[in-house]
Amino acid sequence: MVFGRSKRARSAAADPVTLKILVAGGFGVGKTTLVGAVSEIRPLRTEEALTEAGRPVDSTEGVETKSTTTVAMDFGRITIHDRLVLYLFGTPGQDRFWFLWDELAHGALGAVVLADTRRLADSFAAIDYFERRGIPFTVAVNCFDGAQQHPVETVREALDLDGEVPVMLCDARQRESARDVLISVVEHALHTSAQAAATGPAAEPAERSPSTTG
Amino acid sequence: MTDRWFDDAAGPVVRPYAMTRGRTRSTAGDAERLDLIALVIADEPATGSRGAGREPRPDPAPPAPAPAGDGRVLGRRTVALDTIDPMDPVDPPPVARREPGNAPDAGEAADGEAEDPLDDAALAPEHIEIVKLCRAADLSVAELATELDLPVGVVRVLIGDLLEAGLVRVTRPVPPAELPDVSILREVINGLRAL
Ligand SMILES: Nc1nc2c(ncn2[C@@H]2O[C@H](COP(=O)(O)OP(=O)(O)OP(=O)(O)O)[C@@H](O)[C@H]2O)c(=O)[nH]1
Ligand SMILES: [Mg+2]
Repeated sequence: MVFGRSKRARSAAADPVTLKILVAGGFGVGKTTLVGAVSEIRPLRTEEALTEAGRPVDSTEGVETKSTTTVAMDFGRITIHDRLVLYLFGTPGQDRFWFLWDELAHGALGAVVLADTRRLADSFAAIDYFERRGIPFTVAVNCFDGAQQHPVETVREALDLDGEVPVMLCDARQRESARDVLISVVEHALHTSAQAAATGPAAEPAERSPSTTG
Repeated sequence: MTDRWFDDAAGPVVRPYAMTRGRTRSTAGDAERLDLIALVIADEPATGSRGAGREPRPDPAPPAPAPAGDGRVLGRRTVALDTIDPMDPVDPPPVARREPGNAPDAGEAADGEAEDPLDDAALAPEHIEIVKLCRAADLSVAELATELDLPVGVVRVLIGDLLEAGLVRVTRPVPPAELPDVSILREVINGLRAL
């Protein structure tokens, strides 16, 4: 009804598989735009309640202090077929909410790090985060009008990226472009998992014990 | 909704807090947090021997009156008052466990219309809304939070109630690293290409 999908009776074994990809990056880099460009539903917003105690006290320029204790993340959905659904989650842009990502990142298939060449440093936090967690990611340079186009290799160097990390240019407003970014993420994830299988289970990222490593 | 649930000091926290009776964790057996992309599945209620329950066709019988009138007021108010307002005379019963044949008005279902377990005053309107949404289509925890315009944490608690009551079940998303076979990722790639 709500999203026009039909419902049939089935057993638990036939329940759909759900996967998620995160879309991260600096403030205003185009995360919501990208999610909206490929999602079959309008980008939805959901709010996660934060306790005041858990909220860092740093002040962020341009972000007015709010008395509410919620933060929004937006998400979209792509139904691959009736038994396979891909969810997209745009992470909150403000770095002070980074701790929300732990929940978002748990079990993620992969991630998009959107970057703006005028503010490359804004994507450092996201890149560090996914590297540390062993979550496969693609860096997508959102080509804002008026921004100088940089060759992909220049961006890779500036971001000090591993050679295997895909870097590509995109226009987050374009459905095909956004779709290609997602394909890159899944292909990278496929490649990464094939490698992990070849190297054995010891190569698995330390996602489940984040406290034991720096 | 009455304004007295809100004040400047307590703010918007009051409604979710009241709805969950101050609980921040689901009471459902497994303590694990419900994943944002866990699907909540509510199968259609049993409809006796008619065998046509899957089709959302117009029902000749008058619509079940349950959640609308008293249920709505009772649901939210009693739950809310239980925690917030000691003056409230009504004691909220716990969410009833679904037990077929144990319904109080089982006799009235003799006309072939099976009792819908949603006709239960112990369910808050939000509980009922979740079940109804999920009967129409499987929805993830995140989608439900959006649909109900409630924080994810609150929705988790409500889903926990419904799990306990046997009204819904949830899928347990498999982390990609544990996917039984990578062909699923190929399916995703092919599906995206076809967009
Ligand atoms: N020209 C151009 N504008 C874009 C592009 N992508 C996004 N925008 C615009 O940039 C602005 C910010 O985009 P958002 O999608 O809201 O960015 P965001 O990353 O979700 O922002 P926060 O959630 O606030 O961090 C919007 O006005 C978009 O229309 C792009 O590829 N090209
Ligand atoms: Mg945004």
